[in-house]
Amino acid sequence: MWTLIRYILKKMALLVPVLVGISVMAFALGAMSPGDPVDQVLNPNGNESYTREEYDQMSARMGLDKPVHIQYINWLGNLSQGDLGRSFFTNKSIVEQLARRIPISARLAGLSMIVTVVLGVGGGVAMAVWKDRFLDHLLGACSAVALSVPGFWTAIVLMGLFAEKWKLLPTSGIVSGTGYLLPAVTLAIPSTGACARLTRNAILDEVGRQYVTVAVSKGLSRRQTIVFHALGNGLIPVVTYLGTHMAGILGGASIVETIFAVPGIGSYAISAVQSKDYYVVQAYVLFSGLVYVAVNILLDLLYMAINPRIRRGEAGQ
Amino acid sequence: MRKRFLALLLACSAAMAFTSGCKDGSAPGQKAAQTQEAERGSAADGQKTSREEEAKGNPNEETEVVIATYRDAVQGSGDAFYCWEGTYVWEALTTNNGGVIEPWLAQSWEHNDACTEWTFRLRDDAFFTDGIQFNADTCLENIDRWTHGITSTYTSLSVEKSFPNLDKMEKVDEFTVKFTFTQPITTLEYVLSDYGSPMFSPGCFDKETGVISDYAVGTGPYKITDHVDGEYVLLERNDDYYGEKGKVKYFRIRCIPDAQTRISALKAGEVMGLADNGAITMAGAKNLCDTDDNFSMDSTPSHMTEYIMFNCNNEFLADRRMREALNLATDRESVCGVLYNGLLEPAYSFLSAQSVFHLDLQGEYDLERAKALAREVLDEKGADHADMTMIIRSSTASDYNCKAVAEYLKQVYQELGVFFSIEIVDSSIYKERQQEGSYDMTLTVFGMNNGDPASTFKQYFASDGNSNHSLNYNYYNEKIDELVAKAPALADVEERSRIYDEIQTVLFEDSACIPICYQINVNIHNKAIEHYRGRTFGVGLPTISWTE
Amino acid sequence: MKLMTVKMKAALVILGGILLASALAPLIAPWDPLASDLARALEGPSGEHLLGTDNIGRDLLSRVLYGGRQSILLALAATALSMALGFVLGLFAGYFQGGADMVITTASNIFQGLPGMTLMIAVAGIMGQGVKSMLLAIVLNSWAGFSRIVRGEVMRLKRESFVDGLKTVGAGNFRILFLHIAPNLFGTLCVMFATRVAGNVIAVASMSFLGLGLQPPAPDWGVMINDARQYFRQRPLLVLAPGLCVVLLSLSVNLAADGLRDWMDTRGENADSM
Repeated sequence: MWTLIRYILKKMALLVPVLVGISVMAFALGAMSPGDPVDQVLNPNGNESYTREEYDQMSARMGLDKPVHIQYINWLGNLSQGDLGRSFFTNKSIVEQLARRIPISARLAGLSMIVTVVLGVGGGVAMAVWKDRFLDHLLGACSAVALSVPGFWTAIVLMGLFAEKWKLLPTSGIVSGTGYLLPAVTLAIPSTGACARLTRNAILDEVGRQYVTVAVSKGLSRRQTIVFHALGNGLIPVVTYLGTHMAGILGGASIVETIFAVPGIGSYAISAVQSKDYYVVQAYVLFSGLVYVAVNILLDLLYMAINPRIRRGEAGQ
Repeated sequence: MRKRFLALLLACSAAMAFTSGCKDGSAPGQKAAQTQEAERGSAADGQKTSREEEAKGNPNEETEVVIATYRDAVQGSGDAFYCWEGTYVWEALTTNNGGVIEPWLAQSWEHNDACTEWTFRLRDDAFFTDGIQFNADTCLENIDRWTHGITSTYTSLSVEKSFPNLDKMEKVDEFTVKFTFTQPITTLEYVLSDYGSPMFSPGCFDKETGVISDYAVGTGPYKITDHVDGEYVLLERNDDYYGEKGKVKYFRIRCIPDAQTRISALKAGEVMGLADNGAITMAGAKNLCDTDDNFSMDSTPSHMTEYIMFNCNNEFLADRRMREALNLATDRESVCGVLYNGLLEPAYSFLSAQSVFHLDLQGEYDLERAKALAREVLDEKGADHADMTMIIRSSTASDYNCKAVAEYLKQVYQELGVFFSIEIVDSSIYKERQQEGSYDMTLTVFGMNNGDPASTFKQYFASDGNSNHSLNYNYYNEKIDELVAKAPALADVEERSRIYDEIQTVLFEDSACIPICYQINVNIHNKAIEHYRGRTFGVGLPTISWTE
Repeated sequence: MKLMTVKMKAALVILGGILLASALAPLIAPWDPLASDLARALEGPSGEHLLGTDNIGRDLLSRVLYGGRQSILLALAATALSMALGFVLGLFAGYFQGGADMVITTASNIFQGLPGMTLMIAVAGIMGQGVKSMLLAIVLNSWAGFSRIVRGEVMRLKRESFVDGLKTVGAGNFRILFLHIAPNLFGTLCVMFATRVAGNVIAVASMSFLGLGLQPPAPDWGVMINDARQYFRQRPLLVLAPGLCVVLLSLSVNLAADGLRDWMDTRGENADSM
């Protein structure tokens, strides 16, 4: 038990520099943005004039009159109190915005995960069971295509067909729950392709191993073996993939969210990048870094649950 | 262990499915919104259902009209204006209707001969939607609010900006206010129009900070009943409005950031119209109307004009003949006819056709003469060709069809030996590039809604003009300097008008810049609604009604 | 196994076709991809313009032929740069371990922790649109993946007996590293490179689609799709043709990577999603 806790603590300790690094990167990305945020606030539409005094006042109010490293420390200080500042442009609290938008992106990510798991794992199992048969080839081709289609392109086509032409689903917005469907499917298409291929290969690897041969010799059918034995063991790479995929959507389905007018994290980030709203960009990068770290901790715990050698502290990495 | 893990995984995914399913339905507000959405959807889909609606009652009273904008029409508490003028929630003292200032909450105004004392007579029948009456006290309380320096995404709001050099303001009687200035101000009614003087109920903002705490409460024909950040705002008719009341009881203004998605939403019947200038490109609108009979397009004049502005520090562009060559090579008829679908008028004079001082000049397109002129200049400088850079602000490029215009002109100017590269840059970089002067040409769209162009001419073309310097147009013409200096001293409109005509002629003959076309605002709507009119800010919500 | 080769063949034929067409575009394109003719804007397919014309009257076929040149080069260059960077850092981290490893691993964790697509958008947005910023954005986003795999492989190889043997013979660290370990990574790297190129083709197209890509009037598939969206209903080919090219390119590279993986029997990381 102690080794387990020690192991977890060690893992956590390794993540501290990563977190610091991400916060520095997040801050630097904002601070490096060209253009003068003070000017942007005082002169939002580009044809207003202001005095030097007004400029200095606003600069001080925004905390931008101090050197960069002090700005960073102040930023961290505010961060520790749960304050990420306000958007330069909309003057809205960034924490409030995140709190409102994270659940929306999470719902989108969840739905897309369900599609990915059902179709991806299902397709992968089917491919493994009927290996080298027609179905395997067909699904293999489909998954390769799915992997190769850019998201924005899928979005345009799906919206054109399902919303504009057949009027089955709303084009955009999440006022009705069905509004999540098209963006979720768009996001799920490439991941389903990847997931199916991973699952198939993982299962076939396992099937080649000895215990499966034993199981088959004990009288289980090949299909049962695949479903009950090989699938369980072969899941590790699939789960890893799904975890990072989930983190990816949570932190940046930016194009898809923008096209489908989903007010989640990704569309927030895009509009912030476009308007050079750099507090928002910083907050966003930090947030997605945190999600990544959290997902990694969860995955580590999962690996431990699966692989007893890690649990006993035998394997270092 | 393996089994436990599998069970865990299953439980996880089940929980996820459950929560995501739950969240979709459980929030009561959302549930209600869904039902409304469904009702609206069915009514919008076809004439059949809308006829059924009529049988039940008047659709204007029951069915909401959905309009889309490119950004949230409500910016919220952090914003000085709280919401866009196009929501028809708040009103100002005066309004600028296509260049003409009209009374709004102020019924009339007058000033002394020196223009240092202005008196405004306010409406006595306007009430904020929370029941408080609009009068001299509430008006002054609002102006006080502007001293708090609240920022805004629309434009800045401050007492200094709206009342420059204000000495004092006072209440004369219940519905009269008087402002005294240390310096004369001649166009106060322009400065105060629209975003220059928004009036909110003192009940909705904090007197200490000026921040609007809950929903903004104004005197307008509509009031906000619900707002979901980044998604939509629900408006309900103000049945106690002093003026002509809105026809439709409920509006939903949805925010759809992607331009093509907005068109898809229109086409799918989810939204009935697009508000916001620039919510649809001309090509998009024309295209939709040409291919689908359910839509109708309405255009209103705009004071915006598309220009090429020069940086005259460029050795070639400093030469009038080179500028003239480019001017002659710019085939406005084709640009307007093809790239703008025949919807725009070619522009030759600096002031747009919307300006009362617009001078109707006609230029010509003559590629051969342009080539000869350009060759002359290039030969004199011993150059084979001229390399230049054209910068375009990215928002301009996406809102107008500037990118295509630039790509087309690049081809044409090449024939004159003028090779320019196009750089589409963010507005912050654009600003920097202009201030540094690291550009040779810019394709830009701007306009002035201020009635008197004297300051605009000075700003852009006088040798001591603000923008002429800071934005590096570096234009110099003795004649213009002389004329610009003369204009403000002339009190007589006729005489001033003559000066402005002369300025426009000189600018044209000197090819100080290349006006390309006078822009218009395009609005598009589903024929299921009617009386859809574009306005300076958005569309006129009060006149819209479901088609009978 | 036989079908693998069929798949591989198909992939190579498509890929070869696209590369050849792009390389020979100046020779085979019927029109100048930049020459506009407003009088013939938005025409449908005809004998003269096989795929029709775009909104300012440029030949669509010629633009499609030219449209891959910069994207392909960019994707290749960016992937090669990321690979070079990741390779060197991963090599050092895996071989020397200790402090260097700590620093490099932490750095690669940081970069992997930043959000892929949006990081690229942020970097490209900050740097201003153009080739340089896209290149930097992609390299920043993808070097860490290479470094991780290389590090792992190096650590595995180091444990193998031949390294100890070399050490006893007196071979220096760098000699072992570059002459003996690095060549063993070739297969893994090839597979990773191919997979990554496919992903980066999509990344380049996505950035161009957002208007962060190449400056006009350069013909580029992503830019073309974005520009043509408003004419989609009238002339679907304007969106479909360049889109299909992106899909085919990415698909053929993906399939080729598969084939390569089977052939070399190594296991590269799978491509991550957008």
